[in-house]
Amino acid sequence: MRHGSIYHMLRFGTAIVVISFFINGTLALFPAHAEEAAAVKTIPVKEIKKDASAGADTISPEQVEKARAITSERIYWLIGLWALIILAIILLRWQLRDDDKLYEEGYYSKEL
Amino acid sequence: MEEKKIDVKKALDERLLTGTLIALARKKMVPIHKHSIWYYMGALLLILFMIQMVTGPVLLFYYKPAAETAYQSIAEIMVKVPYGWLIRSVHHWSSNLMIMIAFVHFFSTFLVKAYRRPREFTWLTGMVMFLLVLFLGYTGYTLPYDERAFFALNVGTDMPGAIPVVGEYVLKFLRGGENVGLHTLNRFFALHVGVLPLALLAVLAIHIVMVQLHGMSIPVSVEKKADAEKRKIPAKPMFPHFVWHDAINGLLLVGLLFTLAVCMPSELGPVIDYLKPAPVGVKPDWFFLWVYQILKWIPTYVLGIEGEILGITGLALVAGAIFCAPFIDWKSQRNERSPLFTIFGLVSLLVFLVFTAIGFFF
Repeated sequence: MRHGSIYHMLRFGTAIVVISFFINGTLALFPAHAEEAAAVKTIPVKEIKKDASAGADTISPEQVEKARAITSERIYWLIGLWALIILAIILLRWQLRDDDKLYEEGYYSKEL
Repeated sequence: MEEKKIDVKKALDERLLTGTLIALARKKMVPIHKHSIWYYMGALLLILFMIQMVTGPVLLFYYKPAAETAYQSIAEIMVKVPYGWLIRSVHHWSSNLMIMIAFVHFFSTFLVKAYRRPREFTWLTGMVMFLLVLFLGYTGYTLPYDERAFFALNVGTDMPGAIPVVGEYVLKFLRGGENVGLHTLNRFFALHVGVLPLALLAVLAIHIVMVQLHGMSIPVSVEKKADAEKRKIPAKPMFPHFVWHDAINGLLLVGLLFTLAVCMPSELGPVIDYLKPAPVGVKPDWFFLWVYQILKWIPTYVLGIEGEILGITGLALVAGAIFCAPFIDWKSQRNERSPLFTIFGLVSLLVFLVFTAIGFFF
């Protein structure tokens, strides 16, 4: 400790203990939740599963996997996106080159 | 009748101080030196955050935040909603990239001692944002409410329980009760879409204003070298030079993001089976793997103290030291080299990388 003395350490320790009691006491005044939520094990599992799998709209894991598949259309789309990105970068590089030229000519300040 | 001319520029300046804002943007100079590359990280994070703020609400149109409906609504987004798979995958990958770049930004600013005077509060706001981003990532991970999310909720909410004094309260607050139950998902949903993004936006605004006012921090080594050579450090204006560079980097980032989203769309794990025991080797998401691995390696009891409590207290102390770095790294505050903090930063980086890799591969 920079101003290391037993007095300082004791004061620091006492402050920590008092603050801990204060926080604990304050938290005890405010409940963390409204009512006890049902424990996981007591959730009516079968009902939830039945509800989730009922009806014609239920989507199976196979359908989700199919939606995730890499198709040729998606790859073409991605190639198109990259082409646009590269074009935009070329245009920005040209702009940057012009600004750098202005910078070299002293249009902007060169130092901090 | 005399024709009145309206000066739009003047009118806007009068009402919105646009002239002042443009002048402020032009005033900022970015120093050019060998560490300048790290200055780009903040803008990349901002771009990713904006992507999150666009894709998130789109997902909200279809997501149903209840234990019975969350899983099926995510499946619907993936299968039935036009481009739903893409929006969800972009949201997923942008959050992962955001956390990854946040780690890079954090370690780079720590190692170049960017927290030195007068940037103490810029550092503190950055640290708060870093924690918010991590918590956003964690809460988002649990929302699909599949098997992985369920066990992540159990393991993740269990950890704060070990914090001395407030642990049990935090645990109950997060879970909405003693155990992970129906209320937990609602709480995580509220945090993910309401509390955390709003808090992040507020702190981000302060952070950006401070960065703009104080300018970029220059590493001590660069300053010392320039002083020794009796020369000034070259600089380029933020606007337009660095803005164009940021735009180029942002475009490359968007390209990478969509490539990941198309080639590796986000998954949806199996439906939760509440009666099934936790599978062997269940792990948290990659950004908490290092914490998981450290806690896993600590023995159950160390000198009569519970290992988990000891581990979490130790990690909290390290985090506290990092948080308070501007106030305890006196050498840096005097613009001197502080090798102790450099070593501390490098060891922290090494621990993060090694333990994440071990957690990932083993």
